[in-house]
Amino acid sequence: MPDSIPKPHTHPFKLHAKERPDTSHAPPPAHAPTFIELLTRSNYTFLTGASHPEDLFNTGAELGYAALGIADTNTLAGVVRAHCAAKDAQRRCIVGSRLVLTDAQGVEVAVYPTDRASYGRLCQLLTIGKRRAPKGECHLTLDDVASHATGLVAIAIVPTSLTQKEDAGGPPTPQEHEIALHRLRDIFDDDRLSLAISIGYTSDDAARIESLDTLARRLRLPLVATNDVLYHVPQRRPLQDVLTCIRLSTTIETAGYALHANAERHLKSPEEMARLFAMMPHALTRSLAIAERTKGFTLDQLRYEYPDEVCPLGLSPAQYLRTLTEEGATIAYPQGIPANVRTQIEHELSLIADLRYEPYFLTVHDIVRFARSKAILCQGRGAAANSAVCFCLGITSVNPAQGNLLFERFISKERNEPPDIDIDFEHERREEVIQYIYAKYGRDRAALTAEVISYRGKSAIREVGKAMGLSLDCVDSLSKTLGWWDKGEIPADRLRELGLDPADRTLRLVLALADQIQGFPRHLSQHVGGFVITRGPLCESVPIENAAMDDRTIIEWDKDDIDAMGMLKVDCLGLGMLTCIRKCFDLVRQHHARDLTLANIPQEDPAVYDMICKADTIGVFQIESRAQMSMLPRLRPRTFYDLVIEVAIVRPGPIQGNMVHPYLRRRNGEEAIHYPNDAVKRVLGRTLGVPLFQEQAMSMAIVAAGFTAGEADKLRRAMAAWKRKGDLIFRFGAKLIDGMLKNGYSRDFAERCFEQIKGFSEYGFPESHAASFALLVYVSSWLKCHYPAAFAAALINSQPMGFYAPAQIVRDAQDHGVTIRAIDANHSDWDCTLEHSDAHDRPALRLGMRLVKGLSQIDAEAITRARRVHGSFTTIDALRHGASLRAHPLRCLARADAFSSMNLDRQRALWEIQALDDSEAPVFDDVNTAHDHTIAPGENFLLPFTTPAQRVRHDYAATGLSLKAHPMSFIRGTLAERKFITARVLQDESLSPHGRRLSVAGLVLVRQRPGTASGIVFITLEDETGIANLIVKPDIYERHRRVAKLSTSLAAWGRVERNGSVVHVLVSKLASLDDMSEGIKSRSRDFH
Amino acid sequence: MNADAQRMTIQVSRPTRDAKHLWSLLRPKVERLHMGFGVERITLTVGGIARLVHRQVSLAGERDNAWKHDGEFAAMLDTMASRLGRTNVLRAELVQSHRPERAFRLLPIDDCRGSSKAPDTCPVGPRPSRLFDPPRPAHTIALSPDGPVQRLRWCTQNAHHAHGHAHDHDHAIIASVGPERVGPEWWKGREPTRDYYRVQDETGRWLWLFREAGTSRWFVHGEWT
Repeated sequence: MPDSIPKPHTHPFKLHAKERPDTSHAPPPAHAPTFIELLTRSNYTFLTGASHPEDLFNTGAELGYAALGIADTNTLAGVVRAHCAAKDAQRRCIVGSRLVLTDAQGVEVAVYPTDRASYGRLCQLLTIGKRRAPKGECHLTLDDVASHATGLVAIAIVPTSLTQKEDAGGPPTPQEHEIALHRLRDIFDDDRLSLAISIGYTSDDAARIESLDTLARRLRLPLVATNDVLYHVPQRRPLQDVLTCIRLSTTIETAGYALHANAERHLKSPEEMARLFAMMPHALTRSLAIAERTKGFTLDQLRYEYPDEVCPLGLSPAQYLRTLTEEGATIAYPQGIPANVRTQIEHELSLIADLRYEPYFLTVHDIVRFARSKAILCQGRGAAANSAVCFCLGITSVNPAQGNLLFERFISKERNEPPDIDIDFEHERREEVIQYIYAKYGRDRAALTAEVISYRGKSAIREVGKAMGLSLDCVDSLSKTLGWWDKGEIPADRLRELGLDPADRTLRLVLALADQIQGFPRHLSQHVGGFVITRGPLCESVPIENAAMDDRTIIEWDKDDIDAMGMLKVDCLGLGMLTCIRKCFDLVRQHHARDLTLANIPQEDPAVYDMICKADTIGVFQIESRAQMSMLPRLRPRTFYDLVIEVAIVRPGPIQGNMVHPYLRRRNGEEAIHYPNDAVKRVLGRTLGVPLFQEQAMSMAIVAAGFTAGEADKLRRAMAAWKRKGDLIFRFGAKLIDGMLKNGYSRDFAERCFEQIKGFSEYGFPESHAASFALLVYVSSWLKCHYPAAFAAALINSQPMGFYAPAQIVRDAQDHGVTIRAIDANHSDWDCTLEHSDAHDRPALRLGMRLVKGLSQIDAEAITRARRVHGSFTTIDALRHGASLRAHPLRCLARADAFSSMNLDRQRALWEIQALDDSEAPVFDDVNTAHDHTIAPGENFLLPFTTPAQRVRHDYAATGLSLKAHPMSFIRGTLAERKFITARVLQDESLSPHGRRLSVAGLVLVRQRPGTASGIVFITLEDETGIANLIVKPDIYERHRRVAKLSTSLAAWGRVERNGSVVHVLVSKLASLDDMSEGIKSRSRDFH
Repeated sequence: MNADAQRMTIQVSRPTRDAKHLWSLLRPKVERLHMGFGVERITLTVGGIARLVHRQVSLAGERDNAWKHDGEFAAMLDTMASRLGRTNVLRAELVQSHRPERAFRLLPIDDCRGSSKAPDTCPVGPRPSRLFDPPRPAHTIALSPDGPVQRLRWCTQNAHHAHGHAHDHDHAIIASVGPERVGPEWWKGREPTRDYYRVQDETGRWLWLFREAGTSRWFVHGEWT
């Protein structure tokens, strides 16, 4: 999901800080310039620069700078943010990069493009350096610089250590760095090279200035004044020190001279710089001259061009898009295109034409067409994806004739952002699509966007704590605490509980610095699937570097940067449910001769909704989670649009806005639906007057609080950053609440609307995403309802995915009357398969060998191949020879009890395998044999008797499930004595009424701690009769942390909570049952 | 008339078999010993023994000047330690700190901890050979607020230490180099930033002055002797 994770530090493009409601914060006008700072490093020089680009430009503007040069080390990763921040501050951003070269004897050189072409060369240069180096590094030489230097102006920085020591102490002698400088002067001929000079208040300023001055005269190079800036204000020195410690993996106490002596490396005002450099005014004016020469380039010149091969020769993109749309529409609506859809198509095509977005839609269509041709299931998502045009192009299967979705909002003209479409593909086959994109556009034109990995919460406190020399124990417990309390102030008593003194100075420093470092970029990683595709070479627009994964390349910019630059981006994401649905379609085709697609599944099937209303949704997309399942019987979805609401309602926005209960009350007719006016009715009509979607919350600001469309958009952007720039959102909040009060809304409702907007800021969930998801919810429910065996098989074959493990999927299928057949070497394939059964047309599900622990797919497939040739095998030895197997796979199968068709139980089969002679491999590789005589196969030894409980335990150990019995059934006697009730009894209201104290026991299926539930942990237990849902409050969880976190099976004491058919146990005590349940090896799914 | 047995202990910092050296350590103690009517018996106990390290003398002569390997230096330390007590003989070790008073520490000669971490070279600027602890308050006169110091008045002896006679200085400053700005070690506590100047007074004496940020108070922190 695109906006699922809150960003601690928001891209200035998303923020638009300057579009504040009042203009009193506008920066003072820039003075007639005396000096421009060119050497500034932001925090995109990872773990060195200690300020965000935004901070630098805001401070720069206040100090009266007309422009600032940003030159991060070997990168352009921060320039888009800097560019946007500069625009917001009404200043100019001088784009540059500070190159650290491998052969320049420590001399660094900052380069600045003077036009679009030289910017392209700089990108190419960095790409070369990065592609040849390991991830995160950049190896460049003077020769590389020489071949890309045209049009670049440069500043050479001679490190202090070289000018300081005239004696031959260090390796690079003065002569050597002079050679590098000579070379640079030749490279940047025509007066394009300057020599940086700074006054850092060090002991040898005077000597260094003199030696640099001499050097500059000798080389006939002009000096340029700079403060070689590392942070925007001197108060950032502690943070810069901590960053240095993190970079060098040391602590503040031991870092010593790696730290700077003072706080002078901040952005100084032009006046102060003029005072410092009063004795060399030429160095000040040189900065102006350099800045002047860079005026020929701004990032705005990166006019983005869409790729043009998406169109056949002779057709314009507009013509081609119309042709494809019409073709698709004819197929989608064989009975003729409905009038409203026709109107919608025309409306959308004209909007697309106005914005010239045709190539974007054609590119997406091309990718989708490729996936279709390879039978890879896919589904588009996002506002633009749920358009009539995208439906006709096959990008989405959400039928515009079906819902009452708002399509006019699919692209915002006002927002000048490119359309945004995410495409979900089957997770197992997404790589094929990615390789297609690389092959079609080439690696020089297509690359993945970066994901900027930033410090947040836990990582911030951990790294800062370590750097400040806290003990590892202390850092651990602190970061865990911060995980609990998330952001903001940690309560003092909570710190005391951890044995820490809240007044301790070091601790307070740690917390303050951890807060400052929030949102600092740490490194670039690859975005899960955001592709950037350009018309010309991509590496002339942005540097490309290697990703951690082989054969992947990423650009230096993330998706916000891409948005800001208006570049074409397509998100290609993997979705497990699509894999499952496609596999299920395949099984249905094979066994029921029915050809299903996402689009042709019968719509609005009442049987499907009946099933959903009962919360009978294990394995179904999205609505299988605990929270969703307890919502279903209350919301009782009956139409597709109800599913859209169901998917959206269990999210932070509606929950924090306290909108869930009002909606349910109105739906159940318990509360009157009232609209103050028609405008509001248009916005909230489809959700009974309660805002549930992000779009509605925004529209409410317009129709109910009198915001302009532009203001509403600013509100949306401000939301994303409210945790940092709280004052801005609260100013909007006041305006929103006032506006709504004026229009006759209650204060309570107005405040809830505002809370909801804040909730959306943490987890944006627009209607368009809900609609795309709802389609998959419906399709998977339909399959589960009508083809439970095929659906269960497909689910297991797509593991790992979803909330439930194969054991629960199998059990759920059994509950729905599906015959499950055990894994058998003579019958099972690698995947689960369907077999004919006696019962009508209902197939049986044969478990696949993929469930057998330790067995490889290659061995399993050797077995199925051998079976096709030889037919069934009657002995293990025959199977071994037929499939050329070694002992290990056979032993895995034996442990899984998979030789029943040869009349061998687990022990007998293991015994026989023991007896086989295996000349090519050590047979007894993992069995401790004390026998020294050969055992003949078939020899009838009396093997020790195993109890049913032991057999079940062995099943769980070898396959993660057992068809024989539930492990809990073996200890039921003991449990009953101790007054534990079963899950079935818990469900029964007459036996377990609301408020009753009782105890339950079972295997742990799922542990979940949703971010919205303020630390409450939901645990699902399973026994032989069904499942029991536990609610564990934070204090109880803390008290039983180890037991709750690590036990395979749990006993729980508590009070019954009933709400309609939804039953929970509110837990007061937990205990582990692992000793009693005989070491069952079951794996829960934990979601935090 | 038997006197009680008397015990004398000498310690050496490295193995030695040099009788002269051992006697030089023992002799001061023996000199102070009351021997009464004579010594009946001497018992010699060696608390610890170690192998003598043989070192080859290079043809070009000894160039190894590390104190640990220098027998003569060790002998001198032993002599001092046996007179003053081993914990009272200290050695200085460099510490990586920008604050001058923390840029070294004094350790007992036997204490070897941390010595490997000490910096070989010191990337900070010139430091005086003698630091005043605490820095001596001073009064300065300059022509402009940020201009170079013209005249300096200060007191050699710290006011808190009344013993010894205080010596007032009042001199014109003829040379000044600086400032070198040293920020606080903020993680240790609140301490003001200092601007250090190397100044020479009219008598030719080089002093190390600093001005405290915030208070603008001046101090003499050391001198080159």
